[in-house]
Amino acid sequence: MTEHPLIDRIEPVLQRLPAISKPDGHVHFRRKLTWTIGVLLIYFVLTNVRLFALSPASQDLFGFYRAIMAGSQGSLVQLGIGPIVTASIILQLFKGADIIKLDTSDPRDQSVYQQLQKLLIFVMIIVEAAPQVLGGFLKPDPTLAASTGLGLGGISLLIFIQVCIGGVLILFLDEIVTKWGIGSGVGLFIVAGVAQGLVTGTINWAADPTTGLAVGWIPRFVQIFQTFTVQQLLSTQGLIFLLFQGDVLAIISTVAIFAVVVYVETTRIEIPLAHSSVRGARGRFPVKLVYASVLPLILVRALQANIQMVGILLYNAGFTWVGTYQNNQPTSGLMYYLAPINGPNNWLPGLAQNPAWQVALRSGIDISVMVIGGVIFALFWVETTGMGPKAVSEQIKDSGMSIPGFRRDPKIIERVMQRYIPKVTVIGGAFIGLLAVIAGFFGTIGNVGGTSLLLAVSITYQLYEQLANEEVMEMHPMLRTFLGE
Amino acid sequence: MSSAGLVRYYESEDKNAIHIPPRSIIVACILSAVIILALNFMFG
Repeated sequence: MTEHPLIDRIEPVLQRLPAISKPDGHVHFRRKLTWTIGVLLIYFVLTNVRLFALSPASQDLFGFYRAIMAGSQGSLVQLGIGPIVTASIILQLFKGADIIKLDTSDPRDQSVYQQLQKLLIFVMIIVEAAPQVLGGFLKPDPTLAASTGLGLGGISLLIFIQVCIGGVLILFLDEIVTKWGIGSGVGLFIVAGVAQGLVTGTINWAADPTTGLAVGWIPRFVQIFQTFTVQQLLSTQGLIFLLFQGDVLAIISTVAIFAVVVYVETTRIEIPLAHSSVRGARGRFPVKLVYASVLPLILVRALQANIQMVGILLYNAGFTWVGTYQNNQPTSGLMYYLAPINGPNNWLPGLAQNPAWQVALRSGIDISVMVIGGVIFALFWVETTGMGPKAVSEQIKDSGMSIPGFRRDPKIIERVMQRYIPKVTVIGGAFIGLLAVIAGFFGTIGNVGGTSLLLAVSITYQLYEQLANEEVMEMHPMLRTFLGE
Repeated sequence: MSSAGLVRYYESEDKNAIHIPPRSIIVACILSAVIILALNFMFG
């Protein structure tokens, strides 16, 4: 076990943190599916439970990052997966930079690591809920404060408690899906939010207050074709109108992301494996182009979101030196340059409010942050999740497999893996970061955001692969024993 | 070990930890929702 004075000191607290009990034996595929769907339904119910005593004048601090953070503004799950994501960033950075020295192959350190992340999530729930209440984003209802005699302070405390309860419930719902269901709660909640956004952005016929046109692109198309003639729409101005106001660009961008992500998910280098003692037993170890998965991208975007939230809180408190905001959108100062691009309105000449050089600088910073951040977090991710060359070579050796033509020494297998894994991780991290920025530049249906859509498509694809695997394992129970379940 | 999400859960778990059955969380979710909806209905 690794020695760590601070962790040793808090270990008694870590040991007592609650955890969802694990299933005793094998959970049948149908039961896993029931738990997953059940949690999803509960999540949708929670997003519709409006916080008690909340004033309608409240604002969403998460704003444009809502799709990544999941949850819903003004609801019991106001925080969404925000605390989980933020705690994960801190832990990844600390572990990646070797500040927290824990050997995740050691059972005791594993237990410490997973309890430490839970403690950090509990802390983050408070850290993220408090500024929303104290900073005036979640406002108490003044009439209720007067009629109940609790005062504004008492009502604010009530709101704070509800938000914290919601945060804890999300944490445990995620744990239920991981232990009893399929995939993870975090992935499920992101997909749920993005899917809801896409459906609303397609069929919602309610009028958008700024443009007066329907929110959904289908009713909007009907409105446009009823108002204008085909000749008018085919003129240069008409085509530009269709492209931006008619959401044609967003539709093209959404379809393109779907296609590219599914293609990229299937792109991989396969390293041949053969069983050392069972003749003819062959396999392949796939090193996918997106080897570290798309999850590290959430961390990069969440880091940007957290910086913006600090900016908004400072601006609301009267500090304008970090930047100014309009409707929670940065308009000038350092925060303007650090904010990611959210659709053509932020960069296209004629639509963007700021001078061209400012837009160019902001775009450059966004691309650099996403590409470099994507690479760094992907590398950290691979190390902390046991997907690195050393861990993989151990796994291959333990399963009795080896690479044909090479000695059965884990060191030799590690050397072969070293040739591929780090390079693919870097290329994959940079590629997926760039893809997310491009998607962000062109916008998406329902304004769900490029990164969120990319995450949702990739998570859904992986969920589909997992579902297929689970089904195969149910049909062939022998496979389960072979895979060590 | 599960590698599906942002939160990592390993096979080895502390035996001293307080174990909560998953059903209790579902009940807690429903209870919180019902209480808040009732409060909203009574005072809203």
